[in-house]
Amino acid sequence: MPSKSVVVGSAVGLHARPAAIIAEKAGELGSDVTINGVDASSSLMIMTLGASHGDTVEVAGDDQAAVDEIAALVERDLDA
Amino acid sequence: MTDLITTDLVRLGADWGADKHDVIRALAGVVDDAGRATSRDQIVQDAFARESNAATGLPGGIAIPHCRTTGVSAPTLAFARLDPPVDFGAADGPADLAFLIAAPTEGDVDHLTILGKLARALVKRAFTDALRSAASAQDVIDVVTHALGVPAPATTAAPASGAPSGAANPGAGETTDPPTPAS
Repeated sequence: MPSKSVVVGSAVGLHARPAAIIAEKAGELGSDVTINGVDASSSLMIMTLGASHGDTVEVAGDDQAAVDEIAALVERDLDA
Repeated sequence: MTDLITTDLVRLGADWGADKHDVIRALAGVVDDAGRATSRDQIVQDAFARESNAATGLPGGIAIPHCRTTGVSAPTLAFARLDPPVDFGAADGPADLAFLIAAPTEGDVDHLTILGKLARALVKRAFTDALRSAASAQDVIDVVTHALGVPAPATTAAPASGAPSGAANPGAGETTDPPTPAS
C-alpha cells in the first residue's frame, strides 16, 4: 500500500483549519486515505492525532496519487 | 452560545446492547430528548455514513461517532458510559466511553477549534480516567468543560444579536467577577 512520511507544515499543527482543509480534500478523493491510521476525511479524527508543526506523520492509502495529494497538503502551511 | 454539552446529554451506565449502530441511534435519541435535534433521523443517517467510511473507535476504550449534519443547529455533544462496552473498530478493543459529536453543516472554524480541543483531550489518560470515575452527569460536564478550557462566556462583539438599543446603563449589567478560587 502506498504510503509517505511527511512533516506537518502548518504552524498550528493538524488542528482546526488545516484539519478541515485536509479532510475536505480527502473526502473529494475517490479512495480512502489515512494519516497515522485515522480517516483523513474526518477533521475530528485528524485532530485526535494532536500532530504539531514539525511532527512527522504517515499518510497511506490504496491510491498513490491520492496519498501524494494529501501528503502535499500536510506539508503545506494551511493556516497561513 | 449554546453549551456544547449539558447534563441531559449525559448517560452513565447505558446498556444499549453490543451493536454500535444501536448505540448511535440511542445517542441521537439523547440529543433529541434534550431538545437539541432538528432531525434525529438525519443525525443517525449522517453518523452511520461517517461510520461506514471509517471506524471511529480510538485507542483506550473511546468511540467518537460523529458527523456534520443538518440534524442539529448548534454543535452538540452527547456522552454515554457504556455497560457493556461496544466495539467501534478500535484495534485494542471495545469502547466504554462514547461521544456522539454532531456539528451543523454550517459549522465554522470556532466549532472546529472546540472540537479539536475535545479530540486532543480524548486521547489523554487523565481525561478518560476522570470520565470513568465521574459519579454524576454534572461531574462529566465539569471534566469536559475543564478539558475544553471553556472560558466564562466572553461573547462580546455580537452586535447582530441586537444589543438592546440605548441600553447602555451602567450598573444594570451583572458584573459577576468570579470569586477566584484559591485552588
